Amino acid sequence: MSVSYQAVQWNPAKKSYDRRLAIAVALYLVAFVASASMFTALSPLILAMRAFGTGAMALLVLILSIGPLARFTPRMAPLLYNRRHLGVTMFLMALVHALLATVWYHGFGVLDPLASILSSGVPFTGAAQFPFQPLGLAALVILFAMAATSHDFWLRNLSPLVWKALHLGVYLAFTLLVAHVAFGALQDAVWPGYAWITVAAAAWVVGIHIAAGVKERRADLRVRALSADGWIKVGEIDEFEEGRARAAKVGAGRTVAVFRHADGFSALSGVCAHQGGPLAEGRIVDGCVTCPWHGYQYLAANGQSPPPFTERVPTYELRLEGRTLFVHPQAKPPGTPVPPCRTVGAGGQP
Amino acid sequence: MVEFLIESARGYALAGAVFALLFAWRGAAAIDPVARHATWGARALMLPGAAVLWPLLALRWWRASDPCHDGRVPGDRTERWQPSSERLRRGALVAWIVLAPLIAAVLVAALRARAGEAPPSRDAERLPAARAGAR
Repeated sequence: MSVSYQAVQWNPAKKSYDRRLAIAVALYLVAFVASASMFTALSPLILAMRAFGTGAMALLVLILSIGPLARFTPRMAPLLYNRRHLGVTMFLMALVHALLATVWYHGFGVLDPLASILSSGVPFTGAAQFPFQPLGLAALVILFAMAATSHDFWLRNLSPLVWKALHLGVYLAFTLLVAHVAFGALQDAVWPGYAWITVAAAAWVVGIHIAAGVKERRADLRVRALSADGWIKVGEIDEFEEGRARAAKVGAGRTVAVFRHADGFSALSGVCAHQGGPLAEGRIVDGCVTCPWHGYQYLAANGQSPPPFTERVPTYELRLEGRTLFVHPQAKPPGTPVPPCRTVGAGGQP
Repeated sequence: MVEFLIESARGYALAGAVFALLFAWRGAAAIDPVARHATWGARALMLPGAAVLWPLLALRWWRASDPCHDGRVPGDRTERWQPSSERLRRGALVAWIVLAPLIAAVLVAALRARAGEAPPSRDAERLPAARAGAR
């Protein structure tokens, strides 16, 4: 949530997260170099290159696992919260790997190093000699575009939709990197475990994303949009948990998050103004609707972030008939106050 | 062809680097009111993105100088991007369904190449035991 831009909006949780990340990365690099040097006589530069390369790939697998896992268990939410720092760290590790590889394999010839990388594997003589380095370079370009635009300034100035679409490029980058590893390091690796780890990691990432996508799709289908006089049925009030929401489809691909809170029921857009996170999967924290992705908060009564923050989401009108709650599909402009729909009795209790 | 691409990329990056400095200094605040009080650390983090996206930003900067410009940035136009946001979320599943067979084909081809051709390993040549045996 932003009033003005800072390099990093530090808080104790982020500092702790980054400290643990730095320690984990340092431990991995030291452990890799120490263990590999026991079994091989490779130069320190090659060991460092491989340590950074494998570390970046492992971090990418972790980063790609966090989002889908968070759809299965809320325990992953703390990792999701600061995923951007993981992504930038992963890019920096991949960059060091690429620089070391460029210096070692392409830095001392007559060709320009970039030209040397792009023309490697030419002429093509078989799958084992597949030009894997241009694949790695293409992935690095995508990861650079993502890291370079990771700051909130870009999120706001590109719009969350364009920003998210750009960052979905990580799927393509992952595919390119699997090919980079499979036709590169895997062809030379003596230990067969490398092959199995690569296959297992790729299968895990693909499998968990498809499983999470199918779960989400089923949830979308379960949300029944029953209309009455242009109003859309959300559900029976007894089905709502205090501080939680139910999602309702209101047409044109729009979802409304209907929250039950101390003052009654309120309906906001189901899409967070920050990165389009699913607000209906969030909860009320400190009296505010809180996005499960990055903790952006909105007042339930008007869809506005609490001052001094400025984010806003559209609000919707609710109507209670007996014990059934209906929502009007027409969105009100972002930040429009709508009185909570109250039930009989105090505190929203029927 | 490769040299032309590389030189073009270098020219683009050089122009982007010069533009990025100007943008972080003045342009960011011109196109986004929130950036007027941005810290120097935040401005430094804008540099790589500005160097990549400089044609788009140059256009925005030019438009922002128009007196009729309303001062809103794309992120403020929630009515435009929010309806499409959920379609994008659902599109992720389609993307993985497309990528899954591609990744599987890549791995199968690579494993077959590894098993079939069994090239002498560069690692093996460097193993201490191999070196000792060679002596």
